[in-house]
Amino acid sequence: MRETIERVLPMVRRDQLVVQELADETLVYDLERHKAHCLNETSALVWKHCDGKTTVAEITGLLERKLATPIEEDVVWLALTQLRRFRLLEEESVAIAAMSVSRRELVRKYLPAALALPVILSIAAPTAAQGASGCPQGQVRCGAGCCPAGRLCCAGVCCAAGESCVGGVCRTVQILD
Amino acid sequence: MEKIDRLGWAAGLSFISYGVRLGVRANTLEALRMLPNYFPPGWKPTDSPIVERLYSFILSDAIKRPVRRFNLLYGNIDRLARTANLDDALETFESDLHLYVAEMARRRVFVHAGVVGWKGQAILVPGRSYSGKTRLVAELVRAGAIFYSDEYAVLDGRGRVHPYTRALQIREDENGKQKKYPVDELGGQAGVKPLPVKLIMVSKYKRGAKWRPRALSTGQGVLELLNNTVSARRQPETAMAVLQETAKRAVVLKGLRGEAREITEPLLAYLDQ
Repeated sequence: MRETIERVLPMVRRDQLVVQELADETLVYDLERHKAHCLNETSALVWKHCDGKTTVAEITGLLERKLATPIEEDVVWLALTQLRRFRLLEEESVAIAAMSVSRRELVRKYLPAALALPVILSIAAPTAAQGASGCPQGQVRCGAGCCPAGRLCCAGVCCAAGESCVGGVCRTVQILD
Repeated sequence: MEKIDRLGWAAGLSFISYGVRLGVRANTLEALRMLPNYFPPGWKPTDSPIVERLYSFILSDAIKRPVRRFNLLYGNIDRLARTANLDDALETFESDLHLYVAEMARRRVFVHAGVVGWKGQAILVPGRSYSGKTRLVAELVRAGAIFYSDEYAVLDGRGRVHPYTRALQIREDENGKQKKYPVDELGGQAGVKPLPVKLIMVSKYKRGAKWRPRALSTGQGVLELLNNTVSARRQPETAMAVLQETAKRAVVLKGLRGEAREITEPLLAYLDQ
């Protein structure tokens, strides 16, 4: 395992991503999955150095210099596991997938150094209709209002309980034996 | 579409709104005269017969046959409403039209949000339906803020918010029916000029909650805005660029809140600082 870990050369995914850099963060929009991610400074630094040529040890060194604080490889591994989970790395690396880093332990370890641990916030981008004219949970949007739970919406009209929508009209459908 | 075309139309109108070309046609002149009341703010008529979306409206009163008494509304070939209640048909028309414009707008990004202005700066309250944004906007307007929108924050490339002023739509029953209140009925006035955004308040109503917001970073603020952006999937690059411009100049606060009137004062006081 040790040998495998040392040979890991993480590579950033480039296809189908929109990237915008802010002062201390990086925003990434995944055009394939319609997810938006916000990488904090530490995650963003790790991500930027994932060029397929740099080892984890080298990334750790680069991070140390940039953040001017002593850092161990576990911080980079935590970032890599998160980047992998959000599909921001090019290839599925067995070593990254197998790596387990305790965030809680890292918080304890790096708290005195005031190091911001890698964090990625993520949302699923809404469709146009989402939230446009929502209804309370369980109800269905219908025309200008909402239909109570269990009632069908039929061309802008709420059907009565037990009615079905047939050809755009609410009807009671009888099932004949 | 051909079937709908054959229905017989008395009149039509094409117009442009936020760069989107739209058309409406109706079976009576009376119906056609009614429809512009439901158009987005700032629409302009055009002569072009080419439109991106065509609404077809059949007013039931005009049909003399006793069998058909429904108002019908189509958006291109899709039937959007078939209802005896004219108000429901018109509300469906308004809701669909505004959403279409919000998604397709060329040079603006539409975010679901309430917006008010205060001393030349804007407070933006992003949120989906039932997050309580309209009530908060109404309270802020009653407290003297300038009304900008209770539905969409219309943002430009410089991160400024433009007025999207129509009557406030406040929910009054559990079925989600909304009643319209013109802003002057609340004793307020509507904004005219675009404003820079000073405060983005990500908040959801919860009965009895005390407002103890935490500050978010610019990136987190962009994510919160994107989560309420109509064109997030259609044009993410443009949306993210505009939202970034907006969020980087603003303070972003997030937290649950109780009654709207409890936080209007601290909010306005914050902007005064």
